[in-house]
Amino acid sequence: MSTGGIPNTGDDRDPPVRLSDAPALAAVGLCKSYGPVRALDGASVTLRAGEITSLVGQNGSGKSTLVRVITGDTRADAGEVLMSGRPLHLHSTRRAAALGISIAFQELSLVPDLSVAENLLIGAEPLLAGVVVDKRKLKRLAEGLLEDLEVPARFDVSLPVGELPLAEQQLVELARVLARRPPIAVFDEPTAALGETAVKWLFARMSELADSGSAVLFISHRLREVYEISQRIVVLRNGRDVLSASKADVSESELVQSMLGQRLLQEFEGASLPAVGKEPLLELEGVHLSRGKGSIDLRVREGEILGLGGLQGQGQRELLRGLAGRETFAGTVRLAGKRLQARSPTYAIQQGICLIPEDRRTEGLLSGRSIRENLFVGVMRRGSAETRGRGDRTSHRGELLEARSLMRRFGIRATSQEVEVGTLSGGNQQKVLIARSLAKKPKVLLLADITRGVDVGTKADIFATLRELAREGVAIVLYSTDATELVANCHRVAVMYDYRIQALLEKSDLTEENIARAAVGIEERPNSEAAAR
Amino acid sequence: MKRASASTGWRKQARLISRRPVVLPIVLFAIGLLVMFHLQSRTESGSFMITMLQTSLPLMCVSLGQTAVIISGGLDLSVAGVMSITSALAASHMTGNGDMAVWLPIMFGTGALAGLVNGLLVTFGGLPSFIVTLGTWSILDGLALEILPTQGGSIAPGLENLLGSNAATIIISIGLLAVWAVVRSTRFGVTVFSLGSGEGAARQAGLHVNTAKVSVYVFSALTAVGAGLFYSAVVTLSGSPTAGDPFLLQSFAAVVVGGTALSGGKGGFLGTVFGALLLSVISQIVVFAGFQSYYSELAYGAILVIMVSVYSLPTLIAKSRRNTG
Repeated sequence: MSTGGIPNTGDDRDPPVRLSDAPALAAVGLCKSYGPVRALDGASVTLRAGEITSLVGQNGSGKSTLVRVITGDTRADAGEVLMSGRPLHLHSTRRAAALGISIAFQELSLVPDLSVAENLLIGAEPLLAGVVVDKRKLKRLAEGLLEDLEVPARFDVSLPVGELPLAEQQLVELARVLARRPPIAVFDEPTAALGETAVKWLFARMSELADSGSAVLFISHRLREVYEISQRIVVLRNGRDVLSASKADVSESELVQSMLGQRLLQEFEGASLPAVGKEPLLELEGVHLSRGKGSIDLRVREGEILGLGGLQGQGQRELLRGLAGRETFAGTVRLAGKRLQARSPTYAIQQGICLIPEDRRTEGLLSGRSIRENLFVGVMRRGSAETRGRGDRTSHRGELLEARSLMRRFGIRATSQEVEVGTLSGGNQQKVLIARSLAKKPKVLLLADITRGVDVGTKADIFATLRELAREGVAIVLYSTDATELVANCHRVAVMYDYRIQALLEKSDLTEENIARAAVGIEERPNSEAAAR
Repeated sequence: MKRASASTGWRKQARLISRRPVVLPIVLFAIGLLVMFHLQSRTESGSFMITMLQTSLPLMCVSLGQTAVIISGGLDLSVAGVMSITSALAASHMTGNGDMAVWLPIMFGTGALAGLVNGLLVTFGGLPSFIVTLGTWSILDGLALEILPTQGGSIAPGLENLLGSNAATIIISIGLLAVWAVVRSTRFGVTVFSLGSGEGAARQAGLHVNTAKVSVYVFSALTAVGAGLFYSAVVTLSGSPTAGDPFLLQSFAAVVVGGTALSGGKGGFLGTVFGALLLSVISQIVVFAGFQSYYSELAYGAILVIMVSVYSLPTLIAKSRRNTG
């Protein structure tokens, strides 16, 4: 589909610009290659003072590289960055910070062992006699700063940041940027780790920042958020800006279309769910999570995709980890009628229960090893005669071919199967994890919020894979904080609240509204309504 | 219910230790002292303490720099070489009081240069600190042997008198702690801690990362010069081209026993001081209890392994809590 009717940033490139009209920040024709991979291929983005601009695009479309160039972390091979019309020579992040370009990073740029206060005021600590950091004043300033920003969480500013939960660390990262009131603020996927209240809070602060004359760049995969908060939307695809328009001029489907390029829209919208088997495969009876008050009873049938919904931290994670043998809970779990005593991850995997964890960096992947090695680590333990009988060289070749076919099947984008996993984009890492779990041929697949921070294209790939697995009879439990995703991809959704199941929504009741209601603990309303009907 | 509350109490204590690891070496040192006094009840405890402080001072001094380097996420093996070359230079060239004005600056200059080379190679060469400082250690040891082929020589008597008094020992000990207190609370100190905790984050926060990284190696080398001087002038009263070598492992042991994490970002010098004192009191106990002195090596090793295990407990417990809670 052509994007001809929509204004392109190409129009913004026309020189000369009078300095007073010049955009706060303009990246013009940026190119950047990493080896054979062209991360940026002539990308241009313009940020205007007083405006929130959203940057969207699939993983690998060049968003992160663009941010890295703007922050002085990476130098572009070609193109330039203009600040109020003047070319900038950004050779370091220090320089960018000094010029008033401030960024909240997705991967966070906090020093885990320093306190919240020290992190908030890092590089701007109050000094005594110009040398020694004034600890008391530091604490006071930090507390005042959090209060002024009305940060929606209470924490002790003298605690090391590393001891806070991820969502609160994210708040600290955001508060640090907001507190500086930078002329140019960049928020790189800030909402991925945040709950609803925190997102609302952030949007209010971002709008204030823009109203006070800052240029704000917002990066998100959640199109709804993009529509809610931004005035302008820029789409990157394959390292180039393919669409730049004001929010009113572009519909959501046009946006998705331009992100995906040639791909068909249906592929993204999801296909019909496969039929569910009759026999329950995984049964939970009287399961008691360690913090929970109520017990959990749940049946997942062969070929069923069961969603786990609800707000963050309502026990979804604990439930999945318990099933995977990573932590313990009270109660009975049966797999195909056989009682399980999952006390270790190894046992769970042997029984055919695989968990794909949310934290792919620390829990799932060996980031320094190749894709191939990551795909087959753990498979060895199955000790099938095939793998054992082969000589080293053959098995290596077998692995190599298998790795290539898995990469094709799951759309893992990399130059070769020997590429280090750590260098892949987040979405690609996630695909490696899924591909690896499947190499273990699981009966039950548990997924912990794996689509967090993953772009629409990759999401579509992942859900297509899940449907295919379900068709083969695998029972899938999918935890996601994204209600839209659950409604589109699950047979049933169990909404958790306070470490128990608040509502079990059948397909007929399965709406985002019902999920949202149960998530905030409204008692059983969907069911009673269904009964009334 | 009961079990749950007991385990939270235990966890609270574990967390306390993880946040204030310095408590542990202090307590152990106190226990060690009591054992010591019990073993040699006749000796006057006051003078014994001063002597022990004096003999531990070189280790404390060199461990000050080592603590900073380890907190920054590196290791400095070259401190041994710096101590050796300082000892060799002092005993061969700084024999008269009049030589001090010339040779003290030369010694500190040599140390600073070695530290600068370490820092530049680690920071801008992107080389592992282990390898870089292993190299400089070896080079400096070679030079020390060239300067002073065998043990011997003498140190300017003025320096011996100046550093050898009890008052000097106490002043220097307090001075070392004061230096640390200042370093730790400056922006440089904050940067050193951030380096070990998350270098990328420190860079993105716009701290002077490179300067701090180079400086920390220079700082470490300078403390090694101080340690070498004190060791030669007060403890051995002569020079040795291999004076520093035993201090290498001991400096790591003191830092680690003192609760500083080898992974960087956490710790402090106060722990290191008591780590050094603990090692010292252990070796005394071994001697007074009538064991051969090589048993102290065995005891060092045991205490090192035990302490590292204890320090890692809170992390393990936190992990298990995250898993079950």
